[in-house]
Amino acid sequence: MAILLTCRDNLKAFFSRYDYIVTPVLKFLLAVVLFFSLNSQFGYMPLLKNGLLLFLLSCLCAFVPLEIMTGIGGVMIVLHSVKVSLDVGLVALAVILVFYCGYMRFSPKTGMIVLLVPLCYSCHIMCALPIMLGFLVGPAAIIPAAFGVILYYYGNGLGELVNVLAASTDEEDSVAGYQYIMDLLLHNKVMLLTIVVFACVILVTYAIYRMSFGNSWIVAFFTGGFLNVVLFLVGSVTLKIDVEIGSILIGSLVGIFIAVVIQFGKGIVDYQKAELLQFEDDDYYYYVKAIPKLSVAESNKNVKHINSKMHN
Amino acid sequence: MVREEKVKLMSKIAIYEKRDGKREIPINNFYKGDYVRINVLKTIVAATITYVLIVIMTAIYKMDYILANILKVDYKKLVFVLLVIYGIWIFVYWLIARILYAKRYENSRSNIIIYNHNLKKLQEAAQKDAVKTKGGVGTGGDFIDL
Repeated sequence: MAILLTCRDNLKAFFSRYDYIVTPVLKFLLAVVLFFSLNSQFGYMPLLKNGLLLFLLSCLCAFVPLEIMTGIGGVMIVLHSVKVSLDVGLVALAVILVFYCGYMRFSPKTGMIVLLVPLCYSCHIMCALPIMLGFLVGPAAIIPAAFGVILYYYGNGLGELVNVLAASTDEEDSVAGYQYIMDLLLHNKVMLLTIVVFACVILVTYAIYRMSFGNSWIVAFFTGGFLNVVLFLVGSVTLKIDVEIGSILIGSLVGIFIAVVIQFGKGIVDYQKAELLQFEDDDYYYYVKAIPKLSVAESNKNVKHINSKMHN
Repeated sequence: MVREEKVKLMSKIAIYEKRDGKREIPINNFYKGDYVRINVLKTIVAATITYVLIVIMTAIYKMDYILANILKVDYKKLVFVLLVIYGIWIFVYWLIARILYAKRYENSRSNIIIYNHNLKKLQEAAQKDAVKTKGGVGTGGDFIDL
C-alpha cells in the first residue's frame, strides 16, 4: 500500500510540474479515441474518416476547452447523418440543439459524457459508466448520460436505416428515414430501461458516496453495481425484453473495480498546476514560473539512520 | 529594484485571473439581482428554443395523423394545451436558473474578496514606492511632498 501511495504522490508531482505538456497530450489522446469511436459507429462521410483531418482536429482539441471537443463531435455526427439522409441529419441537429439549449448551457463540462457513453458501449463497459458518473459527477450526469444512450441507439438505428435505404427504391425514402429513426428510438424499450437504470444508479451511488460514515465510497460502489444488475433484471422481466444479464454482471464488476482504482487515484487530478505568468508594472516586465509546493514522497526522502552502537 | 513581496502578490493575482477569475470576475461586475435576472432571461430564451424544437419534431413525426385529421382537430384546445405545457416548461427552467445562478454568484464572492484584498495591498505597495521615489513621506493614504 505504501508503495502505491508513493507512486501516486510521484505521479501527482509529475503532473503538477509538467501540466502544460501532460494536459494537451491527454486531451489529444482523448480526442483521437473519441473521433475514431464516432467514425467506427457512424462513419458514413468519407471526408471525416480522413486520417490527416482527424489528426489536425485532435491537435486543435489538445489546446481548446473540452466543450469545443464536444461541439466538434456533435458537428461530426450531424455531417455523418446528413450523408445518410438530409432529414435524418436535421433530426440529429435538432436533438443536439435540444441538448445544448436545454441542458448544456447550465453545465457545459458535462457535455463530454454524451460522447463517452457510445465509447463505453464499444469497449463493452457500458454498465461500469453509471457507477463512475455517480461518484465523479453526481446527478448532473443523468441527462448527458441519457442523451449518450440515445446517441448510441441512434447510431445503431442509422446503421439499420442505411441497410433499409440500400435495399429500397422508394422515392419517398427521405420521409421514411425520419419516421424510421424516430420509431426505432421511441419504441426501443432497452434504451428506455437503460436510461432509467443509469439515472437510478447514478443517484444512489452519489447519495451513498456523499454520506459521512467510514468507507462510504466502497459501499456506494457495491450498492451501485448491485442495483445495476437488479434493475436490469427487474426491467427485463417487467418489460419482457431480453438483456444480456451475464455481460451486465461482468460490466458492473468491472465498473466497481474501475471506480476503486479511480477513487485511489482521485487525488492525482486535484493537483495545483505549475503556471507560466506574464505581467508588468511601471518599471519591469515579469516572466514568472510558479511551481506549487508539494509534500515529498516517502521514497524521495533520504533518511540517514545513525546507530548508537557504531560509536561504542 | 524588484521587490519579492510585490512579485508574490502580483503572481497570486495573475494566477487567479488566469484560472477561476476568467469566469468569476465578469460575474462580479454585476449586482447579484442583475446577474441572476440576465441569466434567467437567457435561460428562458434557450428553453423556448428547446420547446419549439421538440414541438416541431413531434409535429413532423405525427405528420400522417395531423394530415388525416386536419379538419377535425380542435385548434383552440390544442393551442391551450401547448401554452399550458409551455408555461410549466418555462416555470421549471426559471426556477432552476434562479437557484443555480444565485448559487454561482455566491460561490464566486469568497474568491473575489481575496482577489480585491490582494489588489488593494498591491496598490498600497505601489503608493509607498511612489512616495519613496519622489522623496516624500507617506501618511496613511496621503502624500506629503517635501
